[in-house]
Amino acid sequence: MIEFVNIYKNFGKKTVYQGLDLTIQDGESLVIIGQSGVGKSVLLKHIVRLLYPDSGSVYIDGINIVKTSSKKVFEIRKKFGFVFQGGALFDSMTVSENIGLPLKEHTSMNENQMADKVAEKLELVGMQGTQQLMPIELSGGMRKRVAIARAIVMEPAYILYDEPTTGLDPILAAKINELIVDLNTKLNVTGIVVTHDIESAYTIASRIALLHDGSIIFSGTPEQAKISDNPYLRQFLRGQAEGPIKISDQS
Amino acid sequence: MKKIMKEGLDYYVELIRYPLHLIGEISIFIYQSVKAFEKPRVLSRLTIEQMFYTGIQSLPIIIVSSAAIGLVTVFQAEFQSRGIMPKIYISTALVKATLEELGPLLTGLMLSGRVGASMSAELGTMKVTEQIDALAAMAINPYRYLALPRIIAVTLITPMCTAVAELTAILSGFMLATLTMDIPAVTFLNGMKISFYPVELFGGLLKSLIFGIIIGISGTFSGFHAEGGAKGVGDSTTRAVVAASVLILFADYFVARLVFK
Ligand SMILES: Nc1ncnc2c1ncn2[C@@H]1O[C@H](COP(=O)(O)OP(=O)(O)O)[C@@H](O)[C@H]1O
Ligand SMILES: [Mg+2]
Repeated sequence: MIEFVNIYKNFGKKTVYQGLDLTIQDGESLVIIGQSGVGKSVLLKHIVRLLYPDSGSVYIDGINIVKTSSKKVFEIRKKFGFVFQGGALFDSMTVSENIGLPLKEHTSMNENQMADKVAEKLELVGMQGTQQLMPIELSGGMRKRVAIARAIVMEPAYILYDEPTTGLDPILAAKINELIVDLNTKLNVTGIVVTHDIESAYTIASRIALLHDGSIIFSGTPEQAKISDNPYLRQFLRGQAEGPIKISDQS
Repeated sequence: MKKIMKEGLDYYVELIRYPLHLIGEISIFIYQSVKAFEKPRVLSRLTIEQMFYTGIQSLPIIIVSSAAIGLVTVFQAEFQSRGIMPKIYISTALVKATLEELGPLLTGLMLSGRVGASMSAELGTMKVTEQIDALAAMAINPYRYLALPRIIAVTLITPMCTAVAELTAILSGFMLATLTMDIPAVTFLNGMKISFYPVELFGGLLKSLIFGIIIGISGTFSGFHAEGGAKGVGDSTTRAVVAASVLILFADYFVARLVFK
């Protein structure tokens, strides 16, 4: 279980969170939506303490990661897979070295076992046979899928996805959505997905949360979201320029 | 008027605040890197990899530029002392200048341009494309995996490159002197031994070790702190080279005072 309690965060003069609260239950597939620049990526980074809040607590399975020792943080991070927005593949390493790195660092597997594991995960994301390619040789969609393979190689309990379908064609996006749903339902992984792709949100989410103006202003199932009369949510889901969310609000 | 004064004041406040802030950040960076010393087997593998990489990367430029330094030193020594000083002292001057100053300094400056810049650009790119975050997120300490091996590698490689530079400079000076100045090889070799003190050789290498630490820390620090896309990487790379060069020049002075007093 992940709990954000009363989070405040500023970057210089820019306020990102003002008393944000959010709880994520095990097994959920939570989709966080919100305008660009509202703090979605920053929220994911708080979960694994890549960033610290100015005040407030982030509990991971009951441990406040804000206050705990860095040794403990490294232990906690092993429960997570993180799919970064651009993939963040290590560009000096091949696809198989990228996916194998966590295994090499954290397990005592031998070369063969690692190769099997890498092949298994590549197959899962539909990228079999690409082991020897360099990241630069991959298209955007392939990078994302390799990034997902790398994030799941340690079989994490939680996977954090930062805009997994942004910039992909609709067919590839559908394929990635399917993968996220499969991981969540078949492997019982808790998924936290940041996106501004509403279609994806409806497909993936067991719950949708809207981040606006420093806090979560709506949270509910896709069905609840569709019938909600929250004006911000309605404007966002329908993609309207007119409404309570002003474009000038955007950073 | 009041506004101008306030802005002027703000400027000076910033002028003082920024370096203090920077010193704080660098201290934290060094602390994190030192604290990351663990898993010695992996660390030494990564360090050796980096040593090969940076060594091979910088040897050609070190050899070419130190050859030039050897030539110009002998040329100037001969030219400036014509009729004043016996020719045997030409190689004395070459050896002293090379071992004490030119070798370490030239190597330090060359390596900060070659190795420091490329380290900073590589790590800066990794920073802005979230590769450093990705490493941390998979529970691999970026200070241990990226920063520390590079700092140790360049610290060790700098004295080695300095030794190569010194040898090359002396060799090229030897060729120039014996082939074009009618100085017999024996005279040159005997001149080299006049007033040669091992402590000076040691002092020069100690200096280059310190230069190596400076190059390693400024290269990795500026890379880790790059921000804002390709331009940010360019800026941080420039800063790494400028900072390392200036620090090397001052460190040169201070170590010289310590060793050669
Ligand atoms: N490391 C950082 N330093 C300063 N400002 C940052 C940093 N990371 C993010 N921000 C700012 O915080 C805000 C939220 O960013 P982000 O979470 O990336 O937005 P998004 O919702 O589009 O993912 C933005 O205004 C961004 O400029
Ligand atoms: Mg984002």
